[in-house]
Amino acid sequence: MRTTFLSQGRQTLANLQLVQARKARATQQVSSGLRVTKPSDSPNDAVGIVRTRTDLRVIEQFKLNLEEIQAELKAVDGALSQAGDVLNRAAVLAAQAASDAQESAEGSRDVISGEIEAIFRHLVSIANSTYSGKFVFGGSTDDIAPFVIDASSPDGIVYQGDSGSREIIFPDGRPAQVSLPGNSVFAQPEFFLGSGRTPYTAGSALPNPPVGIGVAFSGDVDAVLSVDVPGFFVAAAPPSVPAGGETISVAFTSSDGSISGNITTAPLPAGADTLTIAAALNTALAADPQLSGFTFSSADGTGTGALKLVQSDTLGVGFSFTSTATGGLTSGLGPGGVTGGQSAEELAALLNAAAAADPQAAAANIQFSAVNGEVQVDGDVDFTINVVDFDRGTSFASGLAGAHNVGGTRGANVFGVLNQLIDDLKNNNQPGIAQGVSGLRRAIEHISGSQSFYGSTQRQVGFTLGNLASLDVVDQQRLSQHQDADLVSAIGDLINSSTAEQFVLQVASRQQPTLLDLLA
Amino acid sequence: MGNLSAAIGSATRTLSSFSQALSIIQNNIANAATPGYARQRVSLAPVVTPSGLSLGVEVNQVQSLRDRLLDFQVLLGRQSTSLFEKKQQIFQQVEPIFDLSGERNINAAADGLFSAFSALSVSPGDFNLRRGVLDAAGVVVDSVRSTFTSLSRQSVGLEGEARSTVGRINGLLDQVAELAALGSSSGSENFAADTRLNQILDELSGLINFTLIHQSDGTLTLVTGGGEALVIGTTVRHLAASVSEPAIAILDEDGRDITAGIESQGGALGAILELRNQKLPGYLDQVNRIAKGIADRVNEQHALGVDITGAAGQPIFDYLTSFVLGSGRTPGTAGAATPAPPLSVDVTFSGGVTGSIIATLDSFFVASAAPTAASAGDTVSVTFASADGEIERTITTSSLLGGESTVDLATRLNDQIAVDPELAGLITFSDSGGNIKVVLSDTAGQGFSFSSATSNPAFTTGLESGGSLGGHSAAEIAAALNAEVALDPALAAAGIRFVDVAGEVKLDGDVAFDYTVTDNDPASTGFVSGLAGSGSAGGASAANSLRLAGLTPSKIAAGAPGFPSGNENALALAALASAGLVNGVTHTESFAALVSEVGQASAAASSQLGTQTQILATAQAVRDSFSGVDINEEAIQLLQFQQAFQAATRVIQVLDSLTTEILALVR
Repeated sequence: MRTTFLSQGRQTLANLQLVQARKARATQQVSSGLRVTKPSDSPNDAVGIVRTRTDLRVIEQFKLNLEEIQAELKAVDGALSQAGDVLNRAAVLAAQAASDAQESAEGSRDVISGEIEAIFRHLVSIANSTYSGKFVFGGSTDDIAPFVIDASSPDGIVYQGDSGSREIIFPDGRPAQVSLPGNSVFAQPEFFLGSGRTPYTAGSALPNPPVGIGVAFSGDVDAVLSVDVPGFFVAAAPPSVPAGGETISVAFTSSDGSISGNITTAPLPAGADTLTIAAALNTALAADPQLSGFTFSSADGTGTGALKLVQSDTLGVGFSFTSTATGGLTSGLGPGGVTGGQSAEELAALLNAAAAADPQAAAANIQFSAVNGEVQVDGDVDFTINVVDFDRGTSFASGLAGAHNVGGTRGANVFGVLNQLIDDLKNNNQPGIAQGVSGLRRAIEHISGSQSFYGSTQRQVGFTLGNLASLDVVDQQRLSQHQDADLVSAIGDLINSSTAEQFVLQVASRQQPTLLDLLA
Repeated sequence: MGNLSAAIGSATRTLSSFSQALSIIQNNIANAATPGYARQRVSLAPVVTPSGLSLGVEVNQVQSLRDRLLDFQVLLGRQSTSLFEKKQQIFQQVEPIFDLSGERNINAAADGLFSAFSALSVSPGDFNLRRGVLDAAGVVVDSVRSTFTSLSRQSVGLEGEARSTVGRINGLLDQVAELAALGSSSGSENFAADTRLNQILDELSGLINFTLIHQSDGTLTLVTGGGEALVIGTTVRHLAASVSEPAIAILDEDGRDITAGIESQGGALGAILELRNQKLPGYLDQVNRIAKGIADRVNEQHALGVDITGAAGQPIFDYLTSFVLGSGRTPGTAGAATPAPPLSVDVTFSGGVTGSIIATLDSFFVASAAPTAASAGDTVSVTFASADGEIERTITTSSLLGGESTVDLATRLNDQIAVDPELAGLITFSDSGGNIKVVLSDTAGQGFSFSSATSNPAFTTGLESGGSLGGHSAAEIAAALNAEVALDPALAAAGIRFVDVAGEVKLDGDVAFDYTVTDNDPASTGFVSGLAGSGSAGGASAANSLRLAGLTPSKIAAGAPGFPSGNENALALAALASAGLVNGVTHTESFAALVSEVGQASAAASSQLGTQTQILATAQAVRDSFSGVDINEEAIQLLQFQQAFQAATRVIQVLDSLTTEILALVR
């Protein structure tokens, strides 16, 4: 091939440009330390850089979050330790006050009660602890003091926080609870006592479906109990008209078998109406004190109505009855039936029977009991009950309706115990003081249980922080692989290209002799 | 003597021929560095009279050593090289916009926003962190808008460049016609015009792709790659650039659009058109989708939370929207039989995206048979499972008394629903003509399936077959429609999306479209989707209108309803960082895809430029090898002609002395 003047120049220029581009690239890598500074340097690495930078930002934020949480958890741990110490001191004082030697010395109990009052206030300040301006025991409400002293409340304190708890998301996407609501730490009731129980006695016919109670458990127990609550009895038909001289007998048996009794009316007058028959039955009932609490009447209040048998809640137990009549009289009571007074005892017995039949409720030792005419529920675990009364339009109320938290045997109303102890000390109530001592022991255990929750959360956070640190290193390495220049090879490249450039320039600048130079 | 005179005449002719040859060599050496110049060669021929008398040598022909094929290869090489060279130039300006290693690109800004939400989740009450969220949202706005604006500026810049390039092309075409005419009119080759023509064509090939046809009559026809003649002999057909959004079009002299034959084909104009009409709109669209995805999803999630006063979250971002929000959605609950065929919502799209979807919806369930008589102690169990699998609950009635009516059974079942904390308020049993009817409330927000059994095989409720329940909530309607969209690639690519907004269904998309929505309620249940009707929607330009909606720090909805001081919604907002915000992928992945797309295109242009440069260099070398001037070769020729010239003068000298001697004889 012929080599011409123009092609020589062009070739030299092209080579020079090539070498200089290589040199520029090497210079840029060496001076910036980066191999990839724009997407086209390596599209795949560019994608890796975008991803890895995002990963690093996420890790950085998680680290900041977890460090903040860890500091807060430490503060809470410290507060709970302090609470434990304070309660220990209260327990020692209460034990002193409960001891016989102190019994006579009322003055010293006053001193102790003063000290316990101080402990109460100290505990309130602990329960209102803040970390960087946030109240740590307010549930999800952290901007107002969660516990406020209120002498009019039964526990001497009112909780103004909520039952929420704070969750964080760990880097693996797993949510974790990092706080306990303050009421579950300091004022977790051991049981729930209903209020406003109301029996139903009105109505002309027995409701069908019957009146009942539904109880759903959630939390550490998952069970639904549903019971029918017997009430009054109404005969299917009005009594026939007596010809005169017939009698009606009714046999009552309590559901627990503890009470049974028979009544028989005096001979009924001819043509007696429902009101007269009911009066005769009531007269017979009056003779048996065991059965006081049963009342017969006319379902519609007239002389032609069916007989109605109402049981008062004073009997405290449900009954079944059977009835007979002489002389072909039909009273309407013949098939017999059941009655109930819807007393707290009866309701508790019905609910206990249902709880015993449910494996989960039985395992959690769910117990219903009657306390001061209301139903109380207790158990060995933490749970929430959601109670609905199926009142069927009657006035029935179990007193339990609604959703309620129950701490079970692990619950401890710390402030309630202290408040009660102060009252007992002031009133010199020896058994109360003794009970206060055991209440305080339970409170200390409860607080330490909460403390262990915070402790284990702290460990989890610490462990995750450690993992994040190593993840951070891995991602930094990944980023470096994606974007950093290999300096050794970049410097080598720079030297090579600089040398090559010099050669090219030298060659280009050297005058190429041609034949023309030799012609003279 | 006669012969002597003839010899002198012949020698003189020879001298004149050699001096012409020497002048050609001189011309070659003088033009050794002239681009487009083709070396010339003289061909000498002996002059012989018809009688066989040799009269010396004469210049037979001066020939320009030009090979049209080799020339054309160079032009083609130049066209490809300048296409990729221009592309590379433009990409060099586009790439920095994505700020790969910086902290201000869209991805970094969005990461910052989600980090701010994450930080807020630790201390939701902290006003500085709340302000931090708003600041981070502001950075997202700035970043999106600056990216969008920079890309738009590139686009505008390319419009200007297209116009000036077309102007230059027209000027060059005029010259081509003129020079070609000059070359052909002189009959023989006009070397200067030829060289100039070559230079013009060389420049033209850097701007546009074309092919040359040398006609037999010596005229030239210049045709674009798309077959459009630009020069025919002396006729020039000028081009014009016209901006008609969204593209820039190249029109021929008759106003016809010939963009397709030029775009991406060769020359700088091909690159300008490709970037302006294809690449940049794609990048702008992607930036817009990312901005819209982030703004929409953050606003939607924010609306699910409550601010510190307990009020529902207001939008954080604001932009020119163009969605349809239904109104009057009504669940269908009327009817005594399970709707068959089931009710459905039909949506037909046209305009920016074409397709149609039919989403069928579950309704209430009515047992096909009445309950049989229950015996005392019998119970009924019904198990409900939610579509998302989060809720699975079994309710069991308390023992029946026997002989319950349908109403009584419904009451017993409703009792258990009321007790169950997860199902309360969601499901209602009733008597429908003696059969049990199960209605799911729209507050459930999702469908349920159920199965049922009794404790006594002889007792049946009519629910035993089980079934599906739908509550016709906005969330359920949106989910059913979105599931259909996902099956249609065109609709999915257009970002068609249905969303539950405050109990009504919102329809939006990344491109503008026309829609027609029809509710089908064959069983007259009273169902209304709220969307029925037709209109236009979608395609809002989020990226250039995005701004902060002006919330104050206290309006940041970090908590869930009921817990205004909580952090649940802040966590949910932070979790959007790993959610499919943009057509089902995370903001990071969609930004990475955009960066990769730009990087690949730019890297491809660079690497193709390298290849084309080599090809061009080879074509040039081959052409030069044929047409170029080799100084040494010219020097040899110079020597040859010099010596021949000298020899001829010597001959004249000898002849002269002979003539003198002969004349002396006469004296």
